Amino acid sequence: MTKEQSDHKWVLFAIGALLSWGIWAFLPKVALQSIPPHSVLFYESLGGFIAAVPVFVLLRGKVGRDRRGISLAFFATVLLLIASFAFLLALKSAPVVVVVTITSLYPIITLLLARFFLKEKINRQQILACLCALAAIYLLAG
Amino acid sequence: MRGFMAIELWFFPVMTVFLSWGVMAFLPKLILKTLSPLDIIVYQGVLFLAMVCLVVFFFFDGVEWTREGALFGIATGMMGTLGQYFNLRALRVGPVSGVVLIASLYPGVAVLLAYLVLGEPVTLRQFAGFVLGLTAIVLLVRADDKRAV
Repeated sequence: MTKEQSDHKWVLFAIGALLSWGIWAFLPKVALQSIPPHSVLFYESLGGFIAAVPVFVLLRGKVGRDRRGISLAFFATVLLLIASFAFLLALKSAPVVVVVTITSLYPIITLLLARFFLKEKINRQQILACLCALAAIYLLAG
Repeated sequence: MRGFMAIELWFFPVMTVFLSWGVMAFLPKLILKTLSPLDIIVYQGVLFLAMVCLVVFFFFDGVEWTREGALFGIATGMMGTLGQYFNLRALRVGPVSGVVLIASLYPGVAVLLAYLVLGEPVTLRQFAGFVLGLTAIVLLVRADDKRAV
């Protein structure tokens, strides 16, 4: 494969992620019109499981078994559960533009955690990003 | 007062997602030291379903069913995993900054779909907030890219 083909390929995959996540953020709004958030959460988890099956087959059943990794994956899934349920509750009572935009600003939290726990420096561009994010939250929450 | 009450309803769950995802974004760096991205998809798929089953059957009166709700719910889960898979494939052959920049613009697709399919109106104030939000994401990705260099 030439470099040009490879470049072309990553853009297509990135656009695939963009479209999939865009649809992922929108679809629950439709599902919530007929069933409550906890039921949507169940079907969402079922969909995630169904999609994980081909990946398991692709790996030929040989999944990593490191205990520390699995423990962290467990903790990440607990957070995913909390976030997913809260996301559905929010979508039930607020417009897509408000919920999806504010929640997509989560890297600000990661940035602040890295600043306080890892002592990473924040540059001007990141400060500007934080200000834009705060202004966005203020406008969307109003 | 009415506006304040409207904020009360959704602001707490939105901030819960905002904070949870912020902490979650920390974890892959640690998990990827011992598990592959595909391993994570498998574990997450199994664990998420198991945890949701426990929560739904212990704290709620089971699951309600409508064809539309079930189909769109399952499609949501599949789309989330598909997005994760595409993102990982893109990251394998493309630059991190470019991939993250394109993928992080997903709110645009969601807002466009809400407008086209559900006819959900977007006020000028919300549109300004949306543009500022996307600007913040682009600035964060570019700042991270500079730090990596």
